[in-house]
Amino acid sequence: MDTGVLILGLAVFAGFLVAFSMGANDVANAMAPAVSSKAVTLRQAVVLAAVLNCLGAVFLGAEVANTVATGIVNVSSIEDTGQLALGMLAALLSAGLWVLIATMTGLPVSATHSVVGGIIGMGLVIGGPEAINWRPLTGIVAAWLISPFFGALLGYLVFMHIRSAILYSRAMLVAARRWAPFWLGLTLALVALSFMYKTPFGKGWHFTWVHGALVGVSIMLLALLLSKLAWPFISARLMGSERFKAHVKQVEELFRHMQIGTACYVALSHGANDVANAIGPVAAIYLIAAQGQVLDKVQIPLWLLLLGGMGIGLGTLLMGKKVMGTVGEGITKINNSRGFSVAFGAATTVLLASNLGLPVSTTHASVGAIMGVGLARGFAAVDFRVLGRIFLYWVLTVPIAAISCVIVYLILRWIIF
Amino acid sequence: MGGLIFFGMFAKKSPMSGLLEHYEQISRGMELIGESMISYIKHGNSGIQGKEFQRLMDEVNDVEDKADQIKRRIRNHMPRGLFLPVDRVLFFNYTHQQDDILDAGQDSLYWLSMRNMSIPDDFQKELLVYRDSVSSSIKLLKPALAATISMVTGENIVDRETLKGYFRDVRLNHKIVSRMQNELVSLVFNSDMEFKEIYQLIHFIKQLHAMSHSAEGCSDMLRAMIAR
Repeated sequence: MDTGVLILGLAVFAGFLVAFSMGANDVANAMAPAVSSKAVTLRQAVVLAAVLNCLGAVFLGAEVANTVATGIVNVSSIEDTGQLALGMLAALLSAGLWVLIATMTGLPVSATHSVVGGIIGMGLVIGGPEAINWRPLTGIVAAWLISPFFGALLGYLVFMHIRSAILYSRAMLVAARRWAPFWLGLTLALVALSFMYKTPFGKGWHFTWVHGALVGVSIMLLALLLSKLAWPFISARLMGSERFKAHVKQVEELFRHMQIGTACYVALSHGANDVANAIGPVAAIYLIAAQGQVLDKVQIPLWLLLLGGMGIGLGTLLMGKKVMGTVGEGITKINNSRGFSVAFGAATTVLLASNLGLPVSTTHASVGAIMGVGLARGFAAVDFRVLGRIFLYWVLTVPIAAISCVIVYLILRWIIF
Repeated sequence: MGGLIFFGMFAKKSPMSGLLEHYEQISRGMELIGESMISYIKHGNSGIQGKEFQRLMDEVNDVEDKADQIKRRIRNHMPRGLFLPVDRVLFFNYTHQQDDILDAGQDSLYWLSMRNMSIPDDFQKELLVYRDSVSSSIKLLKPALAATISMVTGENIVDRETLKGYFRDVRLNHKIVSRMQNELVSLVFNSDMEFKEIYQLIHFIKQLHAMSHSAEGCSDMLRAMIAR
């Protein structure tokens, strides 16, 4: 069998397994706020996560996958494409190994950091320091540093707003009615804009920023209008026989419904960003096999994104419930307004990073958002010491993944060549 | 990646919940102080019958020790990295203030136990009504504390206006206690009791008032915890 085809076959299989493992594991983090606040049941969370992760991966995952495939290592500087393909396979296998270790031990190891670390290690061994795209890599590392803080900022601002405008309001339900469409509209607008500018279909239309602004404003207005029209029905459902009683429960119930939306938002963003960890290296190997070279900017084949998306979706569907159930035993109750703030902060951070083509960790963005809501004094007790541990693992993961990738690469080279 | 990081961010138990546990000891202490008063009025604190008062006083001391243990446990197990839903200094001050309730209760019994005194029949009823009012201040603190914890920790959304109503109840009740204290002190001063007995009884009344005053202070701090 041709070596190139063999490497591609192995890479496709390994990529699918990595996507499957990520789907099984990350559903816990992505859907945790929604499940713990009982916005969705475990079963609903698993199905929603599977479908939306897949959609996010297929439609919005190309940018990050491109970065992972060609943005970290200067592929054109490596002449021996066979070695490059083998190196990418090693990066994928070592990332898979780390996802497996994370699954078995519960260590906070990010698949994103593992795969980027692996590709750096591979690039350094095959092409030396000059083979690394240091500038884009600095951007990725900066995104790793910024994403938790950005998630924290968003979580903080959203929760502060919800608390001051709704929870501390004398007429809670009236305030909730006023602001809920704004947050839902904003979520929908962000997703719509991502689809407009970042999907191959949207790119074909060559939208300008004016189009984007118009669509964004229109969606916000539509959300306001729809909420106005639907309010009598929502109100009747929320209030039941308690029309004249305090509206405390009704507001929380409203947030519960809204949180279903943000849970979908998280799943979509997660798929968009994390599919790259599994598919990026496979894309590079595929292009080498198909074209004999990898260009600096490539078009990720749709079937590869679909493969990654389906891997994540299938992993979530088959294993997510088990993982989530294990996590669920120690679940901390997060109420809907807090859960909404965390999910919005995390998902927006990850989606924006995906649109910029930056691979970031969804878990780290979630942790950042929790930190933000905690700083806004939204939780009973947030242990900030955990952040030190996360940072330590973050710092350690990249070099360890790089070294393990080099070891896997050397073993593969010894076996195959 | 597993979900451990996500949930690892949350401390297993919030120090805020310890406040309710501490409150339960205060509440138990107040019950015992009420029983001690009845025992003292009926039998004094000496002789065989006075042993009942001594027993109850010892029980109050035990409850106070337990309350102190809970307070120390809360305060000594708050690492710097733990971020609370309320200001840390305010939280510490609250534990101190809530502990002061039972400290004052302990002192009130101490004043009664110093020497055996016969409380005149004219004051007995007023003193028992006064005791009930002080007890009400402490009882009213419980829903205020529970609802504040619920609100700041996000366990449940609590209507802020309802919560403010709880604080108002404690404040208004304390006003009644203060008025009753002034009336009782005036009555005691104008009685035919010995000066030593007047001095002893007034200190007892003042310490009971201090209990209610601390409960009001606690309520004020809870109000500060939910300030915008």
